[in-house]
Amino acid sequence: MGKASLLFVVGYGLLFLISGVGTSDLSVQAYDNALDYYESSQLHNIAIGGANMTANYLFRYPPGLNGNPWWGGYTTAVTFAGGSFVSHVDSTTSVDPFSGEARLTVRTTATYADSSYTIIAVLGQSKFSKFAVWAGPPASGGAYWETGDSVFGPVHSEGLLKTIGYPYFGGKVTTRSGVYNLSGYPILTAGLETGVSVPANRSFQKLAYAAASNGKNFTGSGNLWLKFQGDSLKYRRVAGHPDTAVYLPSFAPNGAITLAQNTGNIFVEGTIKGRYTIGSLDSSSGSRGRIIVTGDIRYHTNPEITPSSTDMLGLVAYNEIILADNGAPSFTIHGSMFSYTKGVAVQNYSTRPQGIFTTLGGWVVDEIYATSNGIPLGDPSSRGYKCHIGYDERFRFSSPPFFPGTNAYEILAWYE
Amino acid sequence: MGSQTIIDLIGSFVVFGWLMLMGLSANTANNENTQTAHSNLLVQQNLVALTQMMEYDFRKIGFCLEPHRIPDPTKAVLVADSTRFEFLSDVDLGSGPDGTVDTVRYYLGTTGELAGTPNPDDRVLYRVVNSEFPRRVNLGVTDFTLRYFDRNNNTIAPPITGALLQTIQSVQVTLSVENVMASEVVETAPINEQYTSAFWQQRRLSSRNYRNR
Repeated sequence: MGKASLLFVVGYGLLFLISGVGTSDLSVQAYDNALDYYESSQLHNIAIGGANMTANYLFRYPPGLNGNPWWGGYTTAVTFAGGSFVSHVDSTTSVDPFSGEARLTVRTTATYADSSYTIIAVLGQSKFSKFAVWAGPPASGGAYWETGDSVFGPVHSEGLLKTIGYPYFGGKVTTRSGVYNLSGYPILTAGLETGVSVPANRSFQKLAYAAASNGKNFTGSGNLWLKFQGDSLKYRRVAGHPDTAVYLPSFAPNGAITLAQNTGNIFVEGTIKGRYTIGSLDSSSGSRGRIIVTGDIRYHTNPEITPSSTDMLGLVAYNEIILADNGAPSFTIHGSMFSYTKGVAVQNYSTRPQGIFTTLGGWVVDEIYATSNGIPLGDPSSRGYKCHIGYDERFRFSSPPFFPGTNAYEILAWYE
Repeated sequence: MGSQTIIDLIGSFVVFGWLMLMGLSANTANNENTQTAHSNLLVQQNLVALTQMMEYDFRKIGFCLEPHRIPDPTKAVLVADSTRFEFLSDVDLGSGPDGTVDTVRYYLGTTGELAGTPNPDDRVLYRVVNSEFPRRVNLGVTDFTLRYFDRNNNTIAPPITGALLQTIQSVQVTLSVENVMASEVVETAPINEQYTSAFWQQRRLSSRNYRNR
């Protein structure tokens, strides 16, 4: 074989060697590309798993609630799915902009191969005011939602949701035991989910303690009349006696105003400026512990018009919340109403003039009572109120002060 | 010069030519394979880049570091179409989420916008945050289709407007990417330019915030 042939062979050898390296490099890059995607997915899954585990622990043992101690998260690396994660919980990064209540911020950092990934979740205390309607198990035997009734916002029934005709539900509806239509069908615009249980873990002790410490707790036998006039309040304990006028921010600095045990009922109306929760907490008798609304209750600044409004009201009663028969063709209450053992009742619902009862907030009740005689609005023989429950969007993430909570945390934001 | 020498010369020319042709042919085939492999790699890399970007954004539908700024996350979807998706989020613009609500829009351009590329089917996939000027980055997208499902996994039929937008629980994204230059051209009639393509579909791409509260 001559020199030329040898050179020829060597040349070809070099040529194929170089092109082989190039091709091999392309294959390696393609493999790298696929592997990158796999590793990033795996890393993400580890972070999700860690965040879910942390959130689950916080849900089962909420720090600061139910006597649970503080828990700082999985601060030591937890080996998981070929990688590891660490989670830290703090209560200083995020606060409720209305109440100043601390929220929990969970930061979960996953490590896999040489990469890391962080998920941030913000959890807040879950309050019943987040529901437009929450009805307890006895509501299954109660009144029917009827044509002319409308509810905007989340609705939950811990029993059956009973309807007749075509009531309108503008928010998501969940029930534990399903929906019962006597006739017609409910208009469910945001979907229905059955088999969901939101337990009645309700307590108003926090409200009672708050009123006693830095709010206003009325004691002594007798009813209480309250008339809100912006940031001032007129009150009396005896019918017919002159009112006492006070400046609310000084009278009840933390917004909690309660009528204690062995007292009577609260009569209330007026214009609310600020954040307040009124509690009629007498559980000693079925004729006490009620809130009787004698006239409209409205916010000084309507959040439907001014979303930045800071006015909020909670009405908490051990027994009924009653709309007094004042002859008005309509009734308006701005605020979230909570009845521990009963519901929202309309006095003389089958005889008073027909009209609409408007709520901006919600009903958290054990029972659903009839509010009208069931005859459609506009018919001359219709009596009582059809209900329009408009939802206060601020209640999705905030609540009136010391409003009863579910004693659990819920996720408000999730960043991944 | 004898006849034998001439025969040797002719023979060596033939053999050399034959070897040259083999070499050139091998070189051409090698280049073609390299080109195809490179095209495939580009397509795969483009696909991975796009999917990672979409997964990153779609997982944050309805998220805001200050939750009260998006009080009802189910209203975070603003537009839901088969090739267009617009939603509220809190985008990381370099220093992490800042608690300001941003609008993110994904939509597909027309084939006419990329008439200058050999691939007749490629389009620009736009991602626009807030009111920034839409930038065109051609990654060879030929198909970007969205389907929407409610909580019972039923398809929500278009048009999806008004209250129907709040029933969306998950999104199916179908993405197809091709290279903008043909990787092979079959020159016998009918002349056929072949493009490498890659396909990705993810069902149930949903945001935890969207199902929130």
